[in-house]
Amino acid sequence: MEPTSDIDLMVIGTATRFEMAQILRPIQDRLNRRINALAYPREDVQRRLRNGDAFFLEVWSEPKVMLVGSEDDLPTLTETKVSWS
Amino acid sequence: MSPESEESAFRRLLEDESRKERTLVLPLARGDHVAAQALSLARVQYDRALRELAGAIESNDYDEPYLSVYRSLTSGANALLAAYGYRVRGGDGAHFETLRLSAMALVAWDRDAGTELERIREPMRSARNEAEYQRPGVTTSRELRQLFEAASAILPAMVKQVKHLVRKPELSGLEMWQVPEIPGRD
Repeated sequence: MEPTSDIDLMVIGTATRFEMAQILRPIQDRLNRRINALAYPREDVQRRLRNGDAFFLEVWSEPKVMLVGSEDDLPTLTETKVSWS
Repeated sequence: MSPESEESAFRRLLEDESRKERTLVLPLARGDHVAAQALSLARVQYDRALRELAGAIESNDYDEPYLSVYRSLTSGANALLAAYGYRVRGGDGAHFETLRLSAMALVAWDRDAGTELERIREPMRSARNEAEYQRPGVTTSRELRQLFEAASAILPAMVKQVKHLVRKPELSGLEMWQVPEIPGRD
């Protein structure tokens, strides 16, 4: 990642994209970097992992920087019984 | 700066943009007609969103009304630019650019509405693209409620400004944009 590249941010919880945009706007201005923010309810993430959603599987397999909580708090592939076949 | 000065500055910006090479901003011959038609379309799309709501609540899938409100806002933005005599060339990013310019236009006469459109532009685009092309069922009832609330403030401001610019008598009955009751904890 370059110092000027976009920041991808995923929030799992009850916040909406509109609420996040409100909060992130001054931060983007301060950092002078674009923040691509996505927001999903926790149960939605679990359902999509269970259904083998390619995007979530990809994100789950990549290194992450946790801003709140730890990776142990995330829904996991085994817990959600993802079928790889 | 007065609203009239801001309006003139925005008009000059559109003129300058339209003269650039490979510009997305194109002049319209009969912008007033296009504006009236686009506002009618915005109304139809918003009413469609209201009708789609019952099914969305029943199935807990809010994408369709969300997309209809998105389309309604885009049509309102098209109407506003058309009232100035311009349109944005279709293609990648056309909606985003239309909404950006429309937010700038709104600021002249209604700063709150313009700021609100600019605030929701990116999160709305992001949710719309996911819902339409990647992950259906991505919008929540809470998100839809917030979009309706924003649209119900932005669309009347668009109507008011279009009426100010084109003065067409048939542009009546477009003042009220209802925010429906949407149950749900999220």
